[in-house]
Formats: sequence, structure tokens, C-alpha cells
Amino acid sequence: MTREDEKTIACRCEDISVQEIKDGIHEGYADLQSLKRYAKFGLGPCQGKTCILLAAQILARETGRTLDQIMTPTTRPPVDPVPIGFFVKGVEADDEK
Amino acid sequence: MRSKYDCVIIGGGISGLAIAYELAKRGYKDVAVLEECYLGSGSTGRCGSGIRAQFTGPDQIVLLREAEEMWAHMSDELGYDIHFRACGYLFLWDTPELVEKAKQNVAFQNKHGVMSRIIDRKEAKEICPSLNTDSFLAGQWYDKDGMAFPFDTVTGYAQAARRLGVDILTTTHVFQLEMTPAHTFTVHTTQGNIETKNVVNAAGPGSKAVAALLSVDLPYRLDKHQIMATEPLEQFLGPMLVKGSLYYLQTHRGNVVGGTDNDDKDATDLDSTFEFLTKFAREATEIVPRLAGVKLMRQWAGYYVVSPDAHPVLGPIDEVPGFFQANGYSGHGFMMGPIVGRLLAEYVADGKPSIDIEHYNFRRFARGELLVEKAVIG
Repeated sequence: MTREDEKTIACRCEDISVQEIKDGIHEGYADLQSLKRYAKFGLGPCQGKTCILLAAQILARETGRTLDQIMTPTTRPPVDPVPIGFFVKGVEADDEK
Repeated sequence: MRSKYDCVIIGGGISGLAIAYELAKRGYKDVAVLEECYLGSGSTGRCGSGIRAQFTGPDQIVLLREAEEMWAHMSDELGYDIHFRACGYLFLWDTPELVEKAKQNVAFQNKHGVMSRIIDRKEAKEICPSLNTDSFLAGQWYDKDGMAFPFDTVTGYAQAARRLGVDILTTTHVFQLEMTPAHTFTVHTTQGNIETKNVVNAAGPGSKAVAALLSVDLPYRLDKHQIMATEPLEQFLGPMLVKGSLYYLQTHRGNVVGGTDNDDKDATDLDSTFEFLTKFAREATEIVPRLAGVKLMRQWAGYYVVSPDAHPVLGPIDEVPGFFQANGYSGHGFMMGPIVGRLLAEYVADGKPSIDIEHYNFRRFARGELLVEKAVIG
């Protein structure tokens, strides 16, 4: 454990440090899907756009794998957060254009 | 993984893990859990995380009442915070006919020890200040209903089971099940073969395929149910809100999580749709208008494994001794997890569960003895 890892934030939305991700890996969460859900990064407003690849790199390095051996989580819609009120009009909103 | 166990549980969701934990707790420790993907990757990790005892059928009311008592102590029991909170379930009824029916349901629930009650709009507004009181006539409220965090629950059960000696294997797919002349099973997995005396089928949406390996035809339909999560907010909502097929709650992390039914029966994919978002947005903002300004962060989908009477199949299969079912929850598998864990462990270890659940047996379909449940949400 290094002070640098504790201070380095990997997931800015949820304030998860590099150290917390490493801790999860060393507790046995050796795939990115479980690791994300255990350490709880990538679940904030940016939906992992910043941290998922960082976490994948850390996981690859810590477990001696290459990046393409790490399965990345499914990207869920929408691409960016959208106010719920936007969807109320639904398809009609498009028709009005 | 060893080549021999007393019990092999197929499925690493809440059912399989709870059964494994409860078995080990009873000293029955020669147990393996086989999960084809990662723990909680099936219906458990996709669920709405609600826990309720406000059902209409007596069987579900009794089981969920017991389950709620277990949920309330689960963090201490497992030594891991699963974030159970008795936030209550508030059903909103918007026609006089529905209110009348709700009164009957409440009386029935009260008779079975679930002290739900009908409340007026003023009291509903006190429980949930964000409610639009023009959107309903009366509420149905039970304060012991609640929520827990699915992945933390999976982690809690898995860690506790492992501490007691259970082997939990992920990315391990079962592709063949054979009965041997010695009344044991050979479980063929992608990691090798296992000999075992008992097999528990807790494979969620995969249960039908697992049972088919032993020529047992579980009469299930897979329905796709979509769900969404908003950005995290300060706690403001209070209870789980339910109106028709709409439901949502606010998790301990602050996200509003919930869904509504899109009538996707017999589904073969778990794709997210725009139609779901528009239906959810309309229904959700009608009862809590301020949600219109809250940002939706992600949507996903999961399966309800729906049985002909919307009740699970629990217990042994008469024709295949040693083959147990814990599946077909019809949307209620997460909330039932702890009680199913206990009762199935008692079936496997003692031959008899401490609550009579014989009427949940698979044989009820052949005999035409279906159970009754109308309150399926979302």
C-alpha cells in the first residue's frame, strides 16, 4: 500500500481511490464486473467513462493479464444523464421538430 | 474445486448463496456453489431491491413475513452491511374499486400477522412529502417492508459461506447432469466433473435449462422487466412507492431505482428500450412531479422467471430424489432469498423444512393445485 494510491482518486463521481480498487482485487474480485460492483466505482453520473479503463488497467497489472483479457462491463443507456422530464413527452417530442 | 461434494448448488445469486450459507451454518459444509458468470450476475443483481410482505396470497404473506424478520438482522448475521432498511411500501390506489379491494387485502394480511393498513392522502403525504396527492385516493402502508442492496447481500452471503468452508466457483457452467446407479449425480462442468448426492437448482433464468438436463420440465416463461437508476440525491423520498405496475425507491446511496411493466412476455433479449423510459417517466412524474428534474443515469433489464401461479417451485422432485428446486419466483426471488435459504437447507440437511411448504412443490402443476397471488408488480 502506498500513500500515493490512497490519495489518487480513480473514480471521481464516487470518490474511489486506486487503493480501494487494489484492495478489491486482492480480496479476490478478479473480474472487472464483480470488482466494479464490490468497490463501487463507475456507478456515478459519468457512468464509468473516466474510471472503467483505469480500473481495467490496474486489474490487468495486478493480476498479470493483458487489457484484452479483461471483459469490460456493459455500457448502459443513456450516454449522458438526462432529466426524467425529457422522456415524459416521449416520441412526440421528436415529432414536434 | 474438489471432485466430490455432498451438495452442489447451481446458481450464484441470492438463492444459491443463501442456501449454501444456511447449510454450512447447520454444519453441512461439504457444499459447492457453481455460478456460470459472476456472483449476482443474473436476476439478483438486476432486481429492484424491494422487500415486502404485502401480498394477496396467504402462502406468500407468511413466507415474506418470516423473511422480513431475517432481513432485519441480516447485516449482523452475515457480518457485512447489506444495507437493509425498513423504508416501508406505500401502495397508491386511484379508484374506489381498488381502494375497496385494498381494504380486503389489508384485512387478510392483518389476519396473517402483516399489520398493513389503509391510510388517507394526508398521512401518505406525511410519509412521502414529495407525493402529488391528486394522483391517488388512498394509500396502503406497511412500515416493516423495505429494501436491501443486492450486490452487498450477495457479497455478505458469499463471504460468510466461504468462511464456513463452502466452495464458491464462478465462470463455471454446468452442461450435463447424470444420475448414477448409486443414486448420486455426476455434474459435468466446464471446470471438470463433480460427484454429489444432492443437486440444488437455483439457476434463476437458467433453471428451466438446468432441470431439463434431468428431464424435469419446469413450466416457466421468461418476462423481460426494465428498470432505471437516477443520479444520487440527498435522501428525500422515504418509502418504496407502488402504483399499478410502477414502483420505485431511493437506495441508501441516494439513487432512485425503479421500473414499470412493458408487457415483454416470453422475452429472448434483455435490451433496453426508449418505450420503457417514456412509460416510466410519465407514470413516475405523475405521483412525484419533482422527479421530472432528476437525471436518469442508466437503464437495464432482467428476467422475471414466471410460473403458472406466480409462486416459486421449492423443494424436492418426487421422480428425481436428491434434486431440489429453488426457482420460478415470478419477480420475488431477491426478497424471498433469506427464507428460501433456510427452508431449502432444512430440506437438504434434515429432509423437512421448519415451515410447511409442501404446496410449493413442483408436483402441484401436475395435480392442478395452483396457488393464488395477484400482487405481482413491475
